[in-house]
Amino acid sequence: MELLDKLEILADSAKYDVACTSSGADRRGNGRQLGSCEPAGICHTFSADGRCVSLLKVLLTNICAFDCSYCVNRRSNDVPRAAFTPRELAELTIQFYRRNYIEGLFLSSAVLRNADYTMEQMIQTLELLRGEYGFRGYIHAKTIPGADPALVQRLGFLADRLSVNIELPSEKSLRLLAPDKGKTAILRPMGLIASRSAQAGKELAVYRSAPRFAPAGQSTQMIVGASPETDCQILRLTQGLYQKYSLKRVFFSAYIPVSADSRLPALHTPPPLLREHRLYQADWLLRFYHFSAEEILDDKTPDLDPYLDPKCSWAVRHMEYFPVDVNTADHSQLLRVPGIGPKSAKRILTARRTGRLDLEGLRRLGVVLKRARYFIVCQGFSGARGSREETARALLDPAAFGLGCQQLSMFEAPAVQALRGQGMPALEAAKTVREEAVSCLVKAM
Amino acid sequence: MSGEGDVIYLYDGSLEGLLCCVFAAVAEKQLPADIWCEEDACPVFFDTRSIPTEKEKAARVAASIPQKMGPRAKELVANVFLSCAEHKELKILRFLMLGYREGHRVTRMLAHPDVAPLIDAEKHLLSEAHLLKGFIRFSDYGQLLGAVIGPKNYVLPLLAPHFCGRLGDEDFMIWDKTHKAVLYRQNGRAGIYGMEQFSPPTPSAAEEQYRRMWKRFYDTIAIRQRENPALRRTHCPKRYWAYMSEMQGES
Repeated sequence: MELLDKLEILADSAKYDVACTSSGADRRGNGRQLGSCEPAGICHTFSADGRCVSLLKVLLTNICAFDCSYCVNRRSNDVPRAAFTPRELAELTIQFYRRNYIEGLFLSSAVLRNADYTMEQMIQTLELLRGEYGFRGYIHAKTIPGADPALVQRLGFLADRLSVNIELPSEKSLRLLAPDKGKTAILRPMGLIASRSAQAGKELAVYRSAPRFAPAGQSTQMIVGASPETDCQILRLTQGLYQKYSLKRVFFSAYIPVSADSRLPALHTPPPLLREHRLYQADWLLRFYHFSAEEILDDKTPDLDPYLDPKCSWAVRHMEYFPVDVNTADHSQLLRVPGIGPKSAKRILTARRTGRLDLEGLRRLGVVLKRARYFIVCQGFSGARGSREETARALLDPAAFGLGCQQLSMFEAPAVQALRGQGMPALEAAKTVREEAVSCLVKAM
Repeated sequence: MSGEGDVIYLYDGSLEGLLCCVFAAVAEKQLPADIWCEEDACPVFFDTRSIPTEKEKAARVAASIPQKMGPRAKELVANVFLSCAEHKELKILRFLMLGYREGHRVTRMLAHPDVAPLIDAEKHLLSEAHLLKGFIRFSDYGQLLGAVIGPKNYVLPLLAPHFCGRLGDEDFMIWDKTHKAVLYRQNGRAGIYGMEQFSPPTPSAAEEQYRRMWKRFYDTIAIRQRENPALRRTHCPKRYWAYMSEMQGES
């Protein structure tokens, strides 16, 4: 088989893995060997679906011994199969990297023969890259569930980031849909990676030359919308993973039906992109805004609001917290204001040491006044005096209705999709749902 | 210092030349209406005044910036000078005038009308440089790797350390079509030079094959059910597409 066709098959099989980030590793170029890493990561292009392409994301092989029902590569699925040799893949990575197509390699694999054999093939590829080619670029490797811990350890000394996909947000769903992967097969390597990283960090503090174990940490991914868990359950699990396994990132992947299976959503069900988007926003609140999962959702409101971003949603439920005086509030209070992000919060703290801030100054600092004005006071401004309806309109996320965009938004809420499905014109459907959302929000305020 | 006068300063387009304009404005106790590069000057109703570049004056102003306003002010001015912000010269001058009055705190006055525009211009420059670290496409010309870019900001000085560190010991060149300049490294020595014209050589068969594989990978990695052209354009504006091999034939 030609390399071009292999590449197509093995990229096609890898594309449902969402992570393509190249962040978290800091390795300067040395001017002798090929490659370097930037802490923030670098996107090299954006695919037609608008996702960042940073790494050559491929499977080593899509020939699989497992039969997980949600996965395109499952044993029982009739798709073309291929496998790279370690040499082919290493050479391809180097040639793509020199041309600045990519930031490095994201290597994953289906389970060829068994977990250990697959891991050995992966390790061989990375050893070629790091050893023979002296490659210093980014490598993300996915460990294979059930592999020998010694192999996970070897992989960790070659890769910048390791990941173990948790796949589904509960043990029950996992048992139902991925019978070959148990909860322990997933969590054990995650725990192993976390403790090995911590140990390597300690050694590094003592010996400067101690080998680095996955310096960009570990990440995971779970599929959203294939199984019945609520957003609340998903967020609590996410928070737990950050705390317990010190994960760097948790990725969410809106389920795209790839097989007709009575246990799964029907084929042609649109992927829940808006829900995925809201979960990422909530994930940001956990990581950068000092929110806890319990503050964002609870058993009374188990799912994120499709029409409001989660920070606005928290704010309208906690009006007693506002208005915040931007000239005196501390960092964590500023971060709670809709329209103020981590960067503008920092700028506010710096700028107000030189004088009191007014609305015009806040605008220059990058504060989104359209939303923030309902939650702040500042020099010469004692708070917006809009009606509750006016406030509600300013806060609703236009993307959810497919309004205010040149083309219909991909994030369109399910309610809009449903009305359009009944034959209502897009604009009318969007407006109808928005009016309902406004009156709903006004009642809640 | 009184407000803007009705004279337009002309300078030679170098940072040293601009610093001499700063020197002149301080001496005159009057801001000019604008500062133009001599090359771009066109007839206007304003009086114009050519400010000669004098190394000694430029050095005095250059030394005064970190001394009076701290190292961050020096960095900010150097970056904004590389940016494509309109009237960047006058913006820099206004910032420095404020800095001479306010001292070190000027770099914290982020909401001030004479400071915020510099922060924005710097952000635009740095974000374009960051994007290009990813969007640049090299071709293997046989003797060296070569790329062409068409950025709005003058980013070559910011790209130089990145690619020199990253590309091992390979020789390479990046031609900036907008600013008619080239970053060229041979045998480990890098420099930026003027270059009016450049036409890349015909790609070799091996080069064509890697472009084909990259394009195939690019087309395959997109998920059809999630197609979203607006999102792609937001992250990767169309003006970069002409220089990215995988974008040929995309719309």
